[in-house]
Amino acid sequence: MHLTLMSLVLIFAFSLLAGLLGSLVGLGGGVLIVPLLTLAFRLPIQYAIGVSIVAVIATSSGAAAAYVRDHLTNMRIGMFLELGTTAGAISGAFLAGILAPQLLFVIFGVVLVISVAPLVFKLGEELPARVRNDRWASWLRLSSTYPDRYLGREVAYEVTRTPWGLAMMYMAGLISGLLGIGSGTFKVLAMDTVMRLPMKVSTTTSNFMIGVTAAASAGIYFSRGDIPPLVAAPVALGILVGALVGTRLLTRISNKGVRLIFIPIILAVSIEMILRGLGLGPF
Amino acid sequence: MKQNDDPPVQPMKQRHTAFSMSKVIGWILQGGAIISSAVICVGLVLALIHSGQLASKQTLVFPHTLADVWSGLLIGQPQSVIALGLLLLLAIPVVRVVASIVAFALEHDRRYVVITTVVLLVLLLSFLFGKGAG
Repeated sequence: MHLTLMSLVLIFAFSLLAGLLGSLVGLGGGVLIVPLLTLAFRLPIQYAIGVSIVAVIATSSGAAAAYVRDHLTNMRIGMFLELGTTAGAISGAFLAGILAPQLLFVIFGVVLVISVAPLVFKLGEELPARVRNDRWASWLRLSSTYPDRYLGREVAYEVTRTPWGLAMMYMAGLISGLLGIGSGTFKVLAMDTVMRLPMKVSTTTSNFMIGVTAAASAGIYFSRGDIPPLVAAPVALGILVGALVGTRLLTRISNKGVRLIFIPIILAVSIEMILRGLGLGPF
Repeated sequence: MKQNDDPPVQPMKQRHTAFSMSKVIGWILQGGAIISSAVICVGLVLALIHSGQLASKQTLVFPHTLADVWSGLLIGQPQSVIALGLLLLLAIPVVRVVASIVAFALEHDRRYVVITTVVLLVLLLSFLFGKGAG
């Protein structure tokens, strides 16, 4: 890999875009960064994934700071569901030596493609209607309100199917522990489709959570020598700036708009996963 | 009547403490991001000054143990400075989890103290396993 000043600037600019999109839809931006580094810069995949772990934590820290203060993030939901993601991540690390990742990539890629269907079905829905707290949600006091500047009011919401959401979070953690990518998409899906949270609460709470899931494996990647500093530096800086812009944007767009941005990204993630599973392309 | 349409009114105390907690967590996340990106910036500028560091072979030769990073820092090696910034960045989520345990404890919210403590323990466990596997 040959790094010039020009390529540093290019990586920075691209990461800025990844941080912007990631902060809007609750993902780490690895979906954009891994193909850029492997395709355009011929960086071996292990380093690209190591750098994308940095990208996830940068997106999470940069964006969540603003979302937490703006009360968009539901910290209780985030903390509770982190039980599932961290337990899943550690199981994934265990299973990584036993299971063939190729097959898993294909399976979860196909699962993601299928999960787009309920999203398309809900495209016209600005806020979930007739959602009532289940027993878990009441006990854990998960229901809350968030200020929606687009709608110009404080929106109250309740939370349903909490145990299923937790189970899906375990899967999300498992996938990120095993495969290193795609955990943000499953988190948003769990909160949006299963627990029926408003889209913006789902993406901002996912944003809050992805840092912790990534931190569970970041130490491993670092000590294995998978995170080249000169590549990670422009990525981290670009992401942080992009996330800053993204957080400003999110308050101005509707839940429908966020969902509209989310769908093509989720498709891109699933295609990447399937390609990697089939051993096609640089993945 | 009209009351049914209003969002549920939360108890005053909970509202107040939740507010201060999000401020503290937000401050930790933002402070961490600012500090780590500043260190990364310094390292990147150093690397650009010693432009030999950008040569193709050097890119994938870098310190990746704490001892290497430390000894690199002592001689002002650019890659080690960036690595320090990256390590600070990677530590932010862990610090955030620790801080939330304290915050929930201050709110006397035992349920969430337990939940967040379990998250921290699993996180620490994953570091241990990571070392064993690596």
